[in-house]
Amino acid sequence: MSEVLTEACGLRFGFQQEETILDGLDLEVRRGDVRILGGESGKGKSTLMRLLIGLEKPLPDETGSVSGQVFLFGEDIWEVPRLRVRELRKRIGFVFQNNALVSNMSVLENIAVPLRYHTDLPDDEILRSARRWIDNLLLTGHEDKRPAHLSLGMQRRAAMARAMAMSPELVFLDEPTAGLDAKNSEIMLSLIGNLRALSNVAILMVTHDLASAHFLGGRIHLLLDGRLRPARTYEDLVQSPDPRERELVRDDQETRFG
Amino acid sequence: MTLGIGEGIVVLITWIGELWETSLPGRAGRLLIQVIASPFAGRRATARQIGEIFLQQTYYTAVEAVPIIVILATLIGGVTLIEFATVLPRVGNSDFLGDVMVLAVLRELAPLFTAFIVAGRTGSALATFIGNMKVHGEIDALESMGIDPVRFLVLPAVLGCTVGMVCLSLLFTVSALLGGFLVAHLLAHIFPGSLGLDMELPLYLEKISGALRLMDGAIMLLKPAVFGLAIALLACMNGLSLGISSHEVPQGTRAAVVQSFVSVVAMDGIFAAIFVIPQLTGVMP
Repeated sequence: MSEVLTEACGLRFGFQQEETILDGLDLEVRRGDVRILGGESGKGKSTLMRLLIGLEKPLPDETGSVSGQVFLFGEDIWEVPRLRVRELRKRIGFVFQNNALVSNMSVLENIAVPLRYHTDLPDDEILRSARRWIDNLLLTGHEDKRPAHLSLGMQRRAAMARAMAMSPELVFLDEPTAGLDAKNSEIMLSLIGNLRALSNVAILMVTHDLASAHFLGGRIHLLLDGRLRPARTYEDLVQSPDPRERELVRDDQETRFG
Repeated sequence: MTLGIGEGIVVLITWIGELWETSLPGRAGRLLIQVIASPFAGRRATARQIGEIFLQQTYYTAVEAVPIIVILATLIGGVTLIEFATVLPRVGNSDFLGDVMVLAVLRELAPLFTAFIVAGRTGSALATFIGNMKVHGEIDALESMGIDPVRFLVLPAVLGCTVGMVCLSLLFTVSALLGGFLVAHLLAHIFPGSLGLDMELPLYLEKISGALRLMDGAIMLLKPAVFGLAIALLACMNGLSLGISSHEVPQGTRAAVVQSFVSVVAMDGIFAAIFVIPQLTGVMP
């Protein structure tokens, strides 16, 4: 069995103690996996991704320590020093829903940031590597533009290029097709598929476009009542005996096909 | 249930500790410790990128503020010189013009006015810049790439602001002493004899240099360095402490500027206590 890249065990989270949105959640992503997280809006899917890399802290348990555990590459991120967590994060990529590109840097500089920070590579090599990702993500000719001068689709692709710059083993994609028109969504999914074919990177993706799991060959976890349902294929969900699961797939089809 | 003396002391120390943790000096002190520790926690390769941000910050803090500092210093120097040159003969102490100019401009006016300008320009811009990065998730994005925002953003900004502040304060001092003299001299020609400023530049410079002491040089460098450090730390701290809502950015900026003004004046008082009171008591020359 392949290596576990990230794992959550008994995770509890709420923005206030009395408002728990994740309640004893378990999840495991192995090398080469494609996992899709679906579910209703505002129920903690993006928060779960942030928890998995330590950007949010789980609720405290009765003893005051964090409830549940989060492992990244086998290490409990709430047990190891902060510096170690940053070392582990070098091995992941994260595409935020709002892209979160550094606004006063060009696309090229944004993609070069992790390489400049984490490697001793000479600058021309860093720029060559960044330009390769610019070409791969169909951003040629836009490398010197600031994020504000790009369309949403281009910004998303630039964020994807930045996430891939360090050749990660695991990529977190937070609604990579949100806000994009049908054509740009298709381009985005096809690029994700290409990147996966190129590097066999594991993917954990939050999306309302559950049919994309079909396209990427992944399995879907639905987040319902603060817990993840077991992973299933899109076809299984369409024929699910649970009306709530069928409802989510129907919503997804309505979103896609109007 | 009553507490024993030992338990009471523990409760008191814990309470003071918690109070310190949440207080302004406590939070700024914690960020300062992170800034000091950050160069030792990470790779050498980042020095290149940090160096670029440091130079940008120094340029923005110091070079771009040159015109406003020169104009302000010249006017303030002129007014101060006219006031002293008018008042000192009345009390029969014209010979102390150099001393009072050094004391007023070099020790007090230059660091304070420069700090107010830097707090208004650099402090507000820095708090807004980092605050916007925070609310737009850019700080989280850096964290997600394993990049320490303190090392990547705060360290070069703090260094740039501190160096820029020292350079500007020196420029203020020179501009106030020389430019001020020129303004006052010009007025003395327009109103001959009325201001007691018929002194020539060499004599004026002689009086100034005669009044300078080693301690003045130390204060001239130390005060602006500490003020610049505090302004940058408070700006970064307020920017980083914002949440996810854009309406918090102006609030963070306002807090950074107000805290900078108050902190600078408070620290000026501490400097006075450290450097002036020992002189009064004869402990220090």
